[in-house]
Amino acid sequence: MIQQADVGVGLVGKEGLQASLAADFSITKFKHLSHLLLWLGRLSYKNTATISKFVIHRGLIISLIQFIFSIMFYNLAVPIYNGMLIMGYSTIYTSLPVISLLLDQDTRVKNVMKFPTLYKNLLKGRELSIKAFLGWFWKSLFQAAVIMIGAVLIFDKLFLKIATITFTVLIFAELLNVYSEVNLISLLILNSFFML
Amino acid sequence: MILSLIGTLITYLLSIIFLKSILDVYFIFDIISIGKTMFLAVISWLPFYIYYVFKYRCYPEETDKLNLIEIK
Repeated sequence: MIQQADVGVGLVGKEGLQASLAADFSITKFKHLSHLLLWLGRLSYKNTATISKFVIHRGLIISLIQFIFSIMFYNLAVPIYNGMLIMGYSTIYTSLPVISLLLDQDTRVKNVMKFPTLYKNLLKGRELSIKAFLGWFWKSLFQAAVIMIGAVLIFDKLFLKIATITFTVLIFAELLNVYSEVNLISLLILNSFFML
Repeated sequence: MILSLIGTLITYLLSIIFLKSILDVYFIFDIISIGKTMFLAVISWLPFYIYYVFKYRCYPEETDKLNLIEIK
């Protein structure tokens, strides 16, 4: 079973703990299996997929801004942001939004327990497909182009401060991206007022 | 989620105060420049948000339908 399956779930029984200890997940009662699969497993897959796409986008957008900057300024081989800003961008400025993606819930426990077919959709693997990643690549490219070209066009008199301006816009754009990705129940209620 | 967004904004504002040599944004501390910065951020994000709203309205996922039923 452990050699063939993708994941092993062990049940703590009266016979001993060998199987339970060797398993990836250990549960005390068989009835907990549905909660483990339908709720925790589903949530884990969806949130991991969202985080991986967001982290790729986060790294890609800053690289593309650098790329567009170099093209716009006669192939200048100078980094647009200094080391401190790049380090801060990938740690303190964007770590909290990633945590909020990690704690996100797209529906309630009772819904997935009542409608187990919600789990079935995950088996299609659409969350981590090539199409999904290409969508995020396009998003990174568009946002990088808008930030860089827009900053040069709008702030023409503050041309020398382009790094600070684009970095500030980048932080706000990333926060807005997280806002549109997170679908916690409280936000769904908030969104429904605007969408209905 | 809201706390994380506010926390990041506070962190960024604090870094503006403490890292003046790196993040010199005092030259854009007027209402027009702040407006322009916000405009750029919104323009880069809005098309994708409109797409999300369109998808939510026209082709909602099963979970969205269930959540909407609960809200109503």
